[in-house]
Amino acid sequence: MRFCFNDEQIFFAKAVREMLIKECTPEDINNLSSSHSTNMSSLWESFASMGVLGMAAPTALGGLELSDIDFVLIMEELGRAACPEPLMEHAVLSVPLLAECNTGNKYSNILESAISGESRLSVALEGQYVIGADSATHLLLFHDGGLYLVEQESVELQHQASVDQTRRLFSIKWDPTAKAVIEGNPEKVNALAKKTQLRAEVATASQCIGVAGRLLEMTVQYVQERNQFGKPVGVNQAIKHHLADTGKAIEFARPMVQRAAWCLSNGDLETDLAVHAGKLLASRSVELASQTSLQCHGAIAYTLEYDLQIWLKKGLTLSSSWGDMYRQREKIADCLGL
Amino acid sequence: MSTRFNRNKGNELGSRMDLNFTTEERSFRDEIRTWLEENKPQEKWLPMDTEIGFEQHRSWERHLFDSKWSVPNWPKEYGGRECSLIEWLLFEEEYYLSGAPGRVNTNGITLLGPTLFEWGTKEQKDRFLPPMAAGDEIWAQGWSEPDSGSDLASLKTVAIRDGDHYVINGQKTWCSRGAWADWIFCIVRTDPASKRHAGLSYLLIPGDTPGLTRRPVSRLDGEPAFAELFFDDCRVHSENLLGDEGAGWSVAMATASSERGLNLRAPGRFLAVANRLVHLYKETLERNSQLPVAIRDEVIDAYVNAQAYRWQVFQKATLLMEGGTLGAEASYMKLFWSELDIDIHASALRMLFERGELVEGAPDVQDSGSWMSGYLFALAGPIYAGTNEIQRNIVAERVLGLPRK
Repeated sequence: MRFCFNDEQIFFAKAVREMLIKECTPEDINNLSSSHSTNMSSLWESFASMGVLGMAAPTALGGLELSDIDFVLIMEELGRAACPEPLMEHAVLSVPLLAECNTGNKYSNILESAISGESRLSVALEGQYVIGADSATHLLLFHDGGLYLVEQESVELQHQASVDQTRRLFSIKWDPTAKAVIEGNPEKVNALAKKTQLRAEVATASQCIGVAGRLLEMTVQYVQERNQFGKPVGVNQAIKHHLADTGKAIEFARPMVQRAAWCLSNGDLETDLAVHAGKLLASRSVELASQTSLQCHGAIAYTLEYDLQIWLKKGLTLSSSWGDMYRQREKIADCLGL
Repeated sequence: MSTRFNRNKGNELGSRMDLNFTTEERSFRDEIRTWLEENKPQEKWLPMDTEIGFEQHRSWERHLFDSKWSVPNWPKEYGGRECSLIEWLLFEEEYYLSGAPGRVNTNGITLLGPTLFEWGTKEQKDRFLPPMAAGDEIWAQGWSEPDSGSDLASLKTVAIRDGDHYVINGQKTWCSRGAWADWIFCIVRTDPASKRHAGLSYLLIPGDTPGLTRRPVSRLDGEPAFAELFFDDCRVHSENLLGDEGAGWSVAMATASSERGLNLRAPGRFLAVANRLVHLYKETLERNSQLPVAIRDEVIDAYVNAQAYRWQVFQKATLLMEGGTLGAEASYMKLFWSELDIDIHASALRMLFERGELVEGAPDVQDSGSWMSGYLFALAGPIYAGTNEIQRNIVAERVLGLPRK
């Protein structure tokens, strides 16, 4: 047994981190929120040129054919940068989903342009809000036992404003037609929906870890700089203990999320349990990090003018996205027969 | 982490991540599983923290040693199998799953053993390691004093050099199994003019040293397993000094890092009890179909957290096997397992409701009262091996980088 990443996985994530530091700054994120534009196109282009958009696509179409264990570290970087772009929906969920249904190369054109960044894909299970629908060109929609591929223009979008303004949620009204079905076998569709759910839980969990880690980092820095009563506030045990507990929650969630990604990539028998456990722990760690980071900052962070709010909102929304702690416990209860 | 593991094993996978066990690891696990099935005692013994139970458990140590299962990760010359760290973790998992007797020499094997490997002379290793592994010499840890707990460096027991011997005067307390142990490893002050960390030495002291009075003290979990040790002009040969005179604090830190890291509490212990909690839940539900759903959620959290400890440790194991070190992050481990242990047992008591308070001998008692005794023992977890408050300070200062003052 060997539980560590190889050099390629580590370097790829490091490259993404360095790119995000330059191209996804808090200023960029705030500008996006206030400008009402739907996406950060230069960031998307950087993802494209690094191969990230096609990381899960077949090599025959120009992708990297990587799998969940290969991009779990990248997802953590997205969280660390509070990346607003729906990269998970496009690259981790939609592209491989469409590739699975690409018999006869019917959708190769769309896939190739999804890899290059010309097309933007998103996906939703039945009843879910569609994330990034306004900047998408195509949507993959699970509906009534079938999987549909529809052009975004043919769908009526209703924006559902989120507390995290960079998270663009939409209710949709659309006309399911037989022509748009790309997979009609209910058993197969069910399996695809399940796989999408599990991938999303892992990728979201990993983003939660990244958000939590950054919240902790920012707080550790702040409590060393902020002086009260003649000393940095970080010398106080109360602060130290808050942050130690936050660090502990993150440290013990991370390997479980990484293990879940490995299980998913390797078809392990315990995949479902591993994925739900990973999301449970990741959600808990980012909730704790959110509470302690705000508390240890004090009033300074209780304003939109201070950057902590970006991560607080990201953590708040991602913690429940694809299943919060309570819903993960329900699923784990099923797995364990409780 | 100053333990002895065969670092040359397990590199065949090259740089690929693989969370499956290798053929070798699986057959190692199968071998110990089978051996335990065939060899563990069928009759129930008294707890090892009683005078009679202590000797019963000693005989089990000898039995393990004779089959080379007492210290599987040690070098062969000292009775081990030189297994890898992963294999040792699997050994611990199988050991706890089997319900085999407790390891009465745990303080020796998991705490003093690694310290001897790091600091002992060849003579000391040859003298002490084999009887330790065989259970012929069982060890207790004599560190705390009435006035020196968290602030161990303030300890006052003195050991004054007199020719070939040290003359010891002072008192140790909270010493588990100290009244019956054959040997005690102590930190003492060899330079009486010194203060705090300076002037301390690590001494190995025979339990039957003239002038040493040992008084059993009961623990909260009902076992008479603590001891107070009174040293009254006790003479101990200087060959029992471990490390240099005055270097006792550094030597002790090797022991301390073993305590809070993996050595003292491998994940196997908590995996086994979390699994038993799940079974208890299912059993209780069958007997009484009304249980608050909050209890089900606690069971899930206990199970998930035991798994989280398991996979954290496997990840750290890979790091260590490939040349990395585990420094102050070991404090995270101690925080995690000690709190997990309480959570697991507290859930069980809540599940058992009115029967939770029953002790062994009560007709309606569940599992011989082991959930209650386990709960009471778990309450000590946040206290021993460095209190959890101290561990949080260590994490904040040495892992996160916050200023000491």
